[in-house]
Amino acid sequence: MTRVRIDRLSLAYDRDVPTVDDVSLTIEDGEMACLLGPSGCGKTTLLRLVGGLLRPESGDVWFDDARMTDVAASRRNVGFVFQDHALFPHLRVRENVSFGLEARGWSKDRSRERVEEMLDLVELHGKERRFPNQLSGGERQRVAIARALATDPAVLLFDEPLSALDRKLRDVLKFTVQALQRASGKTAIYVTHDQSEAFAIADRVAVMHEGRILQVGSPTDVYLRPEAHFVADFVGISNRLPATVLDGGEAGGAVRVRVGQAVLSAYGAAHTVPGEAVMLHVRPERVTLVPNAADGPGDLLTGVVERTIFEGPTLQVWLAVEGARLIAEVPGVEELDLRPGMTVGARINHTTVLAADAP
Amino acid sequence: MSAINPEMMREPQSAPIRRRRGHRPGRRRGGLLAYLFLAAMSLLYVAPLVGMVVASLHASVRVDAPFSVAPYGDLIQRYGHELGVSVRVTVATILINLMLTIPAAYGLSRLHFRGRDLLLSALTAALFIPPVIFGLALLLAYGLVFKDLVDTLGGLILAMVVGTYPLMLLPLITVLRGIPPVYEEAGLVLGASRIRVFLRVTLPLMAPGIVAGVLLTFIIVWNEFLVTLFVAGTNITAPLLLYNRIAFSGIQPSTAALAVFLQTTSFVAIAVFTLAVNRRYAGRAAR
Repeated sequence: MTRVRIDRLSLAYDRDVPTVDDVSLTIEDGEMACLLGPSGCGKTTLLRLVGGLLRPESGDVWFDDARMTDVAASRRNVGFVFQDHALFPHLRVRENVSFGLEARGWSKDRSRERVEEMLDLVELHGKERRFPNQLSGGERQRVAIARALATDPAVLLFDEPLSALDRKLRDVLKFTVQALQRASGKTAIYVTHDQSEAFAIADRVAVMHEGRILQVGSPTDVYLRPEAHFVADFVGISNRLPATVLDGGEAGGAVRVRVGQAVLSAYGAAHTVPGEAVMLHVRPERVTLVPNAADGPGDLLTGVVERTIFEGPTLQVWLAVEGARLIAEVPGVEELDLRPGMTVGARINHTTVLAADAP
Repeated sequence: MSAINPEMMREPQSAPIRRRRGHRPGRRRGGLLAYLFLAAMSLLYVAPLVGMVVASLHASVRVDAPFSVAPYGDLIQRYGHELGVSVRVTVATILINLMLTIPAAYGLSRLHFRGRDLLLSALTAALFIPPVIFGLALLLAYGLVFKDLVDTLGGLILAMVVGTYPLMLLPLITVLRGIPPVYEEAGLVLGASRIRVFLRVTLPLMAPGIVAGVLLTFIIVWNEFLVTLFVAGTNITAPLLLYNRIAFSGIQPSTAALAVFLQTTSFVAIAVFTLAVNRRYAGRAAR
């Protein structure tokens, strides 16, 4: 049961890996934290720093009260699940899972018992004698998880463990990973570039960009209350509407803004002052369309339909609003007989205010 | 740890990978042509060997001499000493090469340092020196500087090592560069020391390169003649003896028998080694 504290870690000199720039993050005991970001953002570098596979230029890694910065990877007692599982190709499933136990000098009997326990846990009983190339992709990943859990590590580290698998399998296995992590009660850090994966399994998500953490929060916080333009854009589609602050306030409070003629109430992710030009972030599914716009009240925007895209469950509608594009995602195709050139009203149910020059 | 829903473990797809057996019917004629062509090609080297085998199976060197297996009967008795020297030189060279090149290959492929590629080029330069020049150079070096090595088995072995270690080094580097470092990292985070990771992960994965290196060294050293001629002194190896006998008493059936024996041992060693390794590692290194 371990609390992981990343304290101002930096790594910039190693040109072979993306940089990490003064990153701090604390992962509580038993928590599953996701590092989310595009490739090259430094999320894997950060994970490898925690695992001891890279050495930081400055800063520290703490497991509870133990400073790990100078501790070798082999002595950190972490369970690491690699992107391509990295099962030893020349060893059988059984030998792969017992590798860490042998390194710790476990007796043959004790180690065999533990291997069976682990293979039962990931439901791979009976495949002990297979070689990795005789397993399916999902089975290999489960062996990798069993191998990481076998040594009873203090911390679990996942480096995009599912990215090599196809979509369907990923959707199932992410819950396997989550269930195994929950059941073991171990603190975990999970690296991914897939926001739906992160949202589905993480207690907290840390969005990374260019070596820095831009925002840490629950999946809903990160999605609905982004604190940076990059965060808003990276997790799902986000519309940007320029607006002017009517009455502002501290970050985290409500803000009234004007967009064209309409006055909207918004969540203020940043400190704002009246008259300030800001940017609104609007999620497409938070927009409802009102057919006869002319009679709308003060919170209704007016837009012209540019195009519509039928997506099955929903209809995507591109609107021109106050010189910007507002994409709305609405259910119910039949009742809205939308055609390009039509004028409609758009009501925004939730929006976040960000300073125009935020990252 | 039992609160896991079994549904979560089930995979939506798990198509077993089957390897196609047998031939596709349309390919049969092409296969036959390829087979005939390759068989004809192999005659290029088989034909001279057949002549040698025929020569070795007669009682004397005359064309009308009766058929006899006698030349093989006392092979070991006649040439035992020289064959023993050959075996010792070959085995020692292979072992020393392994001990030298495994750490060298590891360093050259896993560590980053300035001038690495230049060093590699320098280390493999021995491959590009003609044996006759190499032999002369060694003769001079031993005669003028390393006088203790003149006319010793050690001197002969050293000559073989110096001439052949690149043949061991290059396959090892190739195979090491093909092993993703992630396997070694996986070993480390599982708690194994660097030495343990090397012995249990890296070294087994290097097996195909080790096999290639051992085979190349074996073939070269077991049959080496030219450099040996310069530095052997009184340590006559089997190929050198072969040359001496042909030079001084022509092609005797027993000489031909020794040649056939040397050639056969090479073939058998290669076949056994290759088969054993294929059985042990075929397809497994591939993910």
